[in-house]
Amino acid sequence: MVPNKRAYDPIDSTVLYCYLFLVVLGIMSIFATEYNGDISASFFSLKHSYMKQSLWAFISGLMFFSILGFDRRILQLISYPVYVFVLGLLMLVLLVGQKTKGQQNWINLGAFKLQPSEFAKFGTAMALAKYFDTPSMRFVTRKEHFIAYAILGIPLVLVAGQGDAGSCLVFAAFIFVLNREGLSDLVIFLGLYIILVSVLSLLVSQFIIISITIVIFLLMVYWNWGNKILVRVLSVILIGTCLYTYSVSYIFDQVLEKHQRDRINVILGKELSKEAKRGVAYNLNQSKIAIGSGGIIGKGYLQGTQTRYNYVPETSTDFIFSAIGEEWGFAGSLVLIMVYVLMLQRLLLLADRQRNSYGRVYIYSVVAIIFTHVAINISMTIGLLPVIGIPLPLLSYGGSSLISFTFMIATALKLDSERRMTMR
Amino acid sequence: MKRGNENGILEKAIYIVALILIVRLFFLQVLSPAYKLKAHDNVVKKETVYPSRGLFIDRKGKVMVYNDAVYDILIQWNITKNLDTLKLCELLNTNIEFVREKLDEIKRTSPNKPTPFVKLLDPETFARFQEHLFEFPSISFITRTVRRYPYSSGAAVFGYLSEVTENNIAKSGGYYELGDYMGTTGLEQYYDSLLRGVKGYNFQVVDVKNTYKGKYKEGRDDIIPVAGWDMVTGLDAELQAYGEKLMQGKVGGIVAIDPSTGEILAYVSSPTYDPNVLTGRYRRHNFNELFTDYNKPLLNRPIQAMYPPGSTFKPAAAMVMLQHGVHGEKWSWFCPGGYRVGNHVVKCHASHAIPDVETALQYSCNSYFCKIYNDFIMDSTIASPSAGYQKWRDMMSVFGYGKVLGIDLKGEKRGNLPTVKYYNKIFGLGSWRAATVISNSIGQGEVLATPLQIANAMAIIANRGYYITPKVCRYLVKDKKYRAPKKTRTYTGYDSVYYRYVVDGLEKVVLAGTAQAAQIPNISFCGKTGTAQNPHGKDHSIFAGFAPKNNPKIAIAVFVENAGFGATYAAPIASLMVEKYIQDTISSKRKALEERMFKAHLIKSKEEVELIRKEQQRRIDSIATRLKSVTDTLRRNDKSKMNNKTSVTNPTKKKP
Repeated sequence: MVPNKRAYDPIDSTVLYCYLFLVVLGIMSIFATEYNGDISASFFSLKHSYMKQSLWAFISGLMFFSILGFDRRILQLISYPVYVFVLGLLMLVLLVGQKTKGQQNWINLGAFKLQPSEFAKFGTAMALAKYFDTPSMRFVTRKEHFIAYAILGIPLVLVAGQGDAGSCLVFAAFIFVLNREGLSDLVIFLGLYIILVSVLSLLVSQFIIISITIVIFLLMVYWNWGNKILVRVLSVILIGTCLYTYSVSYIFDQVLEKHQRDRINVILGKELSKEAKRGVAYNLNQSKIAIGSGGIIGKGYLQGTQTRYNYVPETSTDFIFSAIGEEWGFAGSLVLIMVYVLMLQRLLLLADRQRNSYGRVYIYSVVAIIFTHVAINISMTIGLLPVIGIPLPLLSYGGSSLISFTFMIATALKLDSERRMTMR
Repeated sequence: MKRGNENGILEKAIYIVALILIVRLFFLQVLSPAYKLKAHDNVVKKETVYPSRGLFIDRKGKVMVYNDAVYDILIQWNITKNLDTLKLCELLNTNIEFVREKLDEIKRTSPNKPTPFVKLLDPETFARFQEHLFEFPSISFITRTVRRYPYSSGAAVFGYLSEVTENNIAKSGGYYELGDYMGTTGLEQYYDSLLRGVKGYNFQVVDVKNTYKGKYKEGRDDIIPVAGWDMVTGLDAELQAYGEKLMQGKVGGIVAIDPSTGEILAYVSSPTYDPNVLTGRYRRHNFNELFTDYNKPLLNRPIQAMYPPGSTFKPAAAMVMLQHGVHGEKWSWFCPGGYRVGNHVVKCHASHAIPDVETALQYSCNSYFCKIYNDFIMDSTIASPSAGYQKWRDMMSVFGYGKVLGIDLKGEKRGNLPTVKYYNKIFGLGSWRAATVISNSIGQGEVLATPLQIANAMAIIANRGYYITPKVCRYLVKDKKYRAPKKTRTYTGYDSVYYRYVVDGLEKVVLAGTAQAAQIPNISFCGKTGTAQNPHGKDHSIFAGFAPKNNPKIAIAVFVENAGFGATYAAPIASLMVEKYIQDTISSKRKALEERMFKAHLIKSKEEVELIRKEQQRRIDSIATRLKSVTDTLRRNDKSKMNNKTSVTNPTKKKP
């Protein structure tokens, strides 16, 4: 008997089933928001979003299998070329891109619109993984840090140039990957601190924030007088906070566009302009009504009036969760979130069992990307975060997004199934 | 070998965020039932279905008021594209400014739902418009009903409908909603809650653009409207129209009552208007015109105009005399052509001998009635003139004067029968006598009555002693269920024997007395003329009567303002009404009279009245200047005398 010593394992079934579940639920939900009870010859027409999404799903399936057919070494080899290619696309968008709702992130290819920022996430994950896979890489020197930040920073600046706040946040979320690779937790806490100060300085006057900061600072210094380093760090934070507090209002008023300010004001519960009340606030309220009216078990499939009769905007894309919340209720929402958690949890497990840095960093990046998408998208539909145009992975209507996430997951599964082929 | 930070923060972040989302969703979906209601309100639209309002039917079964379909044209602005405003105006028969203004308003206030911009479009215009409706995809219509009056008559008695006010809505206990119409005057108002029926509702599912998506719950929650009660009135449609025709060109009113039932047979207020003008889309304009009309066509004269009853007061006065026994029916009196009270003389038409009360009525002798009134009040068996007057007033009010009779129309006036308290206040306690208030005896002075009260008083005499609450409504009917207004029979308590003398007297009035123009072939018509002086102009022409003498079928009162003697206009009009009602046609020899009444035009426009007033003012001024010159001369004479006096008296005054 030959001992069962295969060179590669079958691909991870948990992630695969989660993937299939989400794609199918996505098509069903898009169908629910669009189908009007009319069964005729045009039912299968490609002018319907659900038929287009099915086509994208079919293409994604083909891509999935073709990626499984690649050798993982080839995947590693093409990492930098892919990265450079997507950066090129991002720059192209800035030159010839289509502008919708203040965002310039489409390239019109006639039959369909390409959204390079979706592929940029995939490409960046590959490039970062490749960089960490460099044999000498220990992620300690300044140079190493600088290059890692640059790999993330370039696409971030480019998508910021497109006005795509959602993708910006996704690139910022790579900080989780760097954290996994040794970056101090303090950086993440500093990030949270900055967000807290930003929100506070929009809500209350700067004078109050600065006063409170000074009081806390003095108390901390009083208790830790012996620790000179901590006192120094605290002093830097104090001065930084004071300066940042003033710059927040400047950024808010001067850098952000009006629709972005409105979206933030809605979440903060501030006084709104008449236009914002009819626009952003109305949309958010309708989304909350849709989800809230779903109740515990939902209204039933194809029974969601709020989402089917267009009270909620963009139900097939950014607000697809409203349709699920309305028709499947709390039970359905819970299951959906659990499936995402299960998939991410499982991917993290796959990441940790990788034998080389490339696989680990890559899969970790995929987790960070999907997590950020899910967290921001669902939060915005239920009023926890400002409305940011960002798709719900694998569910929202959109070919670029679906294919990009398929790439990410298929590649992750492929890397995992061949992990034993790598030597440490 | 594993590198880096094994316990990455990402895993914890995933759990924390998932927990936050689940808690938030739990609050939103499980703990906030309000969202379900909001979603329901969003999607389910309530559409009102108006019931058909009750019909008005006359005593012979002819429909006097029915409902006709009209159309509200609605536009939904947010789905409107390339609107051909000019063509729209042409089709809807409106001017372009109106449509532009209205569209601007809709754009501002309610662009997201179908909003009416032309209301109550008539069926003819609508039929033309409907052929082009497909060219205007954002335009829809709803059907409403408006009242139609085939006889174009009865405006005052039926009343009109108008859009409800906030106040009406509050009072209706939630039944009425903004934009509904309700009865605001006449029978429409009095019986509104029965005539209107009960509104129904359809529940529909609509999308965010308010496009119809289907019935809510397959229509299981829909409420079917309930039609209103139809009303059979006591009115005679032909008689009503005939009365209005007779009164055209005159100011005044006619009330005809069936004495045996209290049903109103005809109810004319003049000048009147075609009630059809207060329905449909030009209602507001027409209403304003009527409202500002100098001759007040909206005044409901039969119950709201108060006139001195004049000599039509005398039959009741005669009854009081006979019942009280101050004089018998055979008491005679020689009329010297007037009745002297101090320096004042109540004039009579002639100097004549009056052998009995019947003759006094026949010739309407003023001095006879002054005398019996005086004798009644100054009767030695009664303690004082004020006690005597109180007794007289009590006995007169039994005939329905000075009180509300309870007709089923709102705004009924009570007239005026002055009280003892009133006279005490005017003249001082105990310092007035019968002679002071002598005008009451002949229905002048402070006495005022509505045409309805005069007709009702005649119904009492026709019935020989009682009246039944006058009502326009006979009964209401719906699905073979009936409801009748509450009527009571009120007795005068007078001995029936005395009615014979008064009725005979009233018969003589027409046969050989003051109202011979009112004779009707083959009908014994009893009545009394009246010529009421009024301070504002020419005398009012009045006639009150009933026919036939035995088993009376109709009691009637006719008022024609500023038309002179009662015999000139009121009596012929009353007789024509009675003939029309009893005989159904006017006999050929009275056709000329009828024609004359139709054509008589006594109404004066505002300009004419002002001209007359100016002429009067000029005369008064000329008299005043003459008076002044006389008084000046007199004063000059006085002054010269005074001057002489003062020159003498002045020194004496200085003494003390």
